[in-house]
Amino acid sequence: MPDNNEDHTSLVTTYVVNKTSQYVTLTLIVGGPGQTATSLVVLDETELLLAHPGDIFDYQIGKNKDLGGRTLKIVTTVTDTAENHNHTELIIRLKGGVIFREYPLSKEVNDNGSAVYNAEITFFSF
Amino acid sequence: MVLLFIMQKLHFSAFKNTIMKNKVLLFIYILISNILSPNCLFAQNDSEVKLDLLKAPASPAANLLKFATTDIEKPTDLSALMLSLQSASSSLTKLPSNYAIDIAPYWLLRTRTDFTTTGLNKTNYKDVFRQTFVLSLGVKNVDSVIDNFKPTSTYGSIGFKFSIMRPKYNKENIAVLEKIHEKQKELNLAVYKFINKKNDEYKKLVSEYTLMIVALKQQFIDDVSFAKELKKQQENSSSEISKNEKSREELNQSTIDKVLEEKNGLIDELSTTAKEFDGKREGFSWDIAGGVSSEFRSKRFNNSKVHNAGIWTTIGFNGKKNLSFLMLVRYLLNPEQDYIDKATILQNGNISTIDGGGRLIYATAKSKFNTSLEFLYRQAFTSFSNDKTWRLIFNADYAIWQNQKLTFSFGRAFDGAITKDGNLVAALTFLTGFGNKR
Repeated sequence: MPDNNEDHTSLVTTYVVNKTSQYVTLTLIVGGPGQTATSLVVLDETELLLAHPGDIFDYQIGKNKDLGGRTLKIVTTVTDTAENHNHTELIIRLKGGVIFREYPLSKEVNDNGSAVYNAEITFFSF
Repeated sequence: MVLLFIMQKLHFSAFKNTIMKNKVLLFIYILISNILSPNCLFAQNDSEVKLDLLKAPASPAANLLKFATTDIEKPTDLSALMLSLQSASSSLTKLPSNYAIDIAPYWLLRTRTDFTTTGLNKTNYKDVFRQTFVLSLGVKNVDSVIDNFKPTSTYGSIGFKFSIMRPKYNKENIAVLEKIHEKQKELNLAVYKFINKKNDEYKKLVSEYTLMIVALKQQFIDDVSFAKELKKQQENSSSEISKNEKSREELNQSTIDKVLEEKNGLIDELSTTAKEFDGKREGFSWDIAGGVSSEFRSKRFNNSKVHNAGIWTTIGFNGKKNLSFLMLVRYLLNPEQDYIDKATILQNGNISTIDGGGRLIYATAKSKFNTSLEFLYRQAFTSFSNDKTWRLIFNADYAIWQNQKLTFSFGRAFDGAITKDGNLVAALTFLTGFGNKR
């Protein structure tokens, strides 16, 4: 897990799913307030969201039983448009699988600079 | 100033026979003398109520207890909030003695509220409320009598602030944001394209990782226990699972760094475009704030009274053609206060005041000329009487240089007197005096 004092923009992890028909959802929260972001979300080779602006709340990725062995890839660019800070962050939340997981990533940029965040989450079926 | 005055006098002697001829020169000279003395240039009458001071405070509870803005805690996440509370309460062992905090609950919990420019451009009430709602709390204890605060009492306050209406960003800013999103999309696709190609080192790490996960799975019979143990190992930086993930993150990061180096031009374009964004909006806005503070006499919670209370509302309009309008109403209540009435007799009773005002402003970002018309109504109610008064002022200024302005104001003051103010008035008055034919 990241050291809070360091920039951390890359995530590789595994999320445990089960064999139910319940949907696994993805939430992407971009910070700090006033930044501008666009996200690309791909499941294996299927583009789920090509250029989503801003936050994403509870986006249904797929059912638990269909996700085992598949990989979710996220690329988010956050550009500093905030007036009073240069902080960028991306909080990735996964819900609906075996347990809730939250992955915080962050980076301080220069004035009007950009941070590119990348995540690879493999679904592991128990 | 004394030196300048002597110089002005000398100049006057030299030119006294040709006053009319040198009127312009003298005017410029006086103007420069005024400009060189910033105190004179920006001298203000502090006894007057200025419209800006009536604006809804950012922290109503702290405002009622007269906290300085710099003393107000504004935690940006839950851990900062806990840290602030722990520090103020000696690790939650006692109540804070002097403490003011602003909490933006929707920001702290980060649920279903988009705080990026995409979300901040939404104008529906629900989003606007969630993004602007601030809960403000304060506790105050003083060592000696200061500003009606008694050392024998403890003061507590609670307040709120939110917007009901907020306009969208202006057309220029929306165009800038669209450009940023386009460039971000291009960058995301470039990064994705490269990061999707994995080298042998990465593939080897994936094989090792899979074996570790499968081995871990064998130790558990239920999925929840397995998921919890996996989470524990992922968060433990010395575990093999965590090390493997970290190594792959580093490989991905080095790929991204190479892509960003290649796409340096695009990054620069993004930065240049982002610089053009100034956050300006066009349309109506409406903010509301309120708060109440209590005095706990003898520092006992079962012996309290309202210390003061207030409610503010601000309605504003930013127009396309450099015209903007601001309307403010403030109601303040100060119960059981000592005051001197018109017959100079000391009284005790509730004092409440209503201040209302409006300001019409014409200002352009590039133009040097700004003008505004300001109206302010004030009514004070006491248990025995009520007094009302108003003020109407016209202001105009012209920027000569970046930090130097010619200012002019004219209007009616609260006491009914006609006022004229500003460094331009001083200069013109001086000139008129010299120019009189006597």
